[in-house]
Amino acid sequence: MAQEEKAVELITVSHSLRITHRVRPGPYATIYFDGLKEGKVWAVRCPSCKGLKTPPTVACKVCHRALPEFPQGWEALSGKGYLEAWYDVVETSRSPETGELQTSPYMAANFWLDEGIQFQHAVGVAPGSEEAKKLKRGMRVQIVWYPPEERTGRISDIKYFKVLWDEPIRKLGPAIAPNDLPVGKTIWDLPPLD
Amino acid sequence: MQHRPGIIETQWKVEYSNCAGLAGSKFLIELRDNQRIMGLKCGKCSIVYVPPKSVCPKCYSQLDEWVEVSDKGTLMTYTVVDYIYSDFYQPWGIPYAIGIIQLDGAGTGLCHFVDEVDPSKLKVGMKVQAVFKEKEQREASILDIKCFKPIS
Repeated sequence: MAQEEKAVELITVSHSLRITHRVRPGPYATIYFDGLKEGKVWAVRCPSCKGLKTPPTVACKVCHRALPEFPQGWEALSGKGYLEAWYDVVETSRSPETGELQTSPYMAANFWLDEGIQFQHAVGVAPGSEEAKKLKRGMRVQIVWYPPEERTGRISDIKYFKVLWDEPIRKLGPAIAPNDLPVGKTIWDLPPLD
Repeated sequence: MQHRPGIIETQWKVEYSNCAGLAGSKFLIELRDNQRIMGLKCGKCSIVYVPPKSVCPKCYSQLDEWVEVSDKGTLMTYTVVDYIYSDFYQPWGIPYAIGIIQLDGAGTGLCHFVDEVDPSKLKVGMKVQAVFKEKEQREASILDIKCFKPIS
């Protein structure tokens, strides 16, 4: 006996909402975001363990002591460093700021800054390009900002870190596995081995 | 994104898509096509659920007995909304009244607007009747019922 399957009509409602979201970043983070607007990346040095922390927080995450108030112990990062690792992000996700789909692919990267800490951002080469194939660990990079009138006080005020192709490549030590780290240190705290 | 000292303000764009399901879709389609309100009956508990539920919340049996309920009922409770929180969800302005109406033949209440009456004249227990939209304006939405109005 043939079984008749009737198409069932299902009712679906879809729309998008715009929700205003307000966040108070706190005293230290506010100075950090204001600094980004000015073209500076602020970091704070812990007087006890001498570790540098960016973005600045009220307490040191290594030794848990209070970090000093601006401007004592605060340093603006030079923006120069070395390329540590890079990722080809082509399948983008939703922007954490607006929830909208980000369509432009970029190359996320970690850098060892001259100050001895790691910083995560993007490297200024197009994914899949000839330049991307030439990237090597230890290449010299320098921060590139958006023009002052386009900066609004968020991490994307930094356009990317551009590779200084003519500078010599620095030999970085092996990347350290988290299990082999000394107690109290994270992989972001250790300077590169030479 | 705006940035005032101490406050970061962003606009989140949240996209969602909601399906009424098998029982809900049939309920809405009956509103649109036949201008009648249908519920699902649980034979064991003798309750007619309006809006319909595929599974009885009391005894968890699968429900498939559709019954028609009246478009007249009793106003069980109501509230008068006097505050705008969203232009999207409140396009008709304030004040307006919403109430829970138990239709004759149903064992549960249906939440909907109570309109075509002065909100101050509403009373718990008053008899109300559904006002449907014209056939061309009905689109398988709960708002195919425009509102409930008191039976004078």
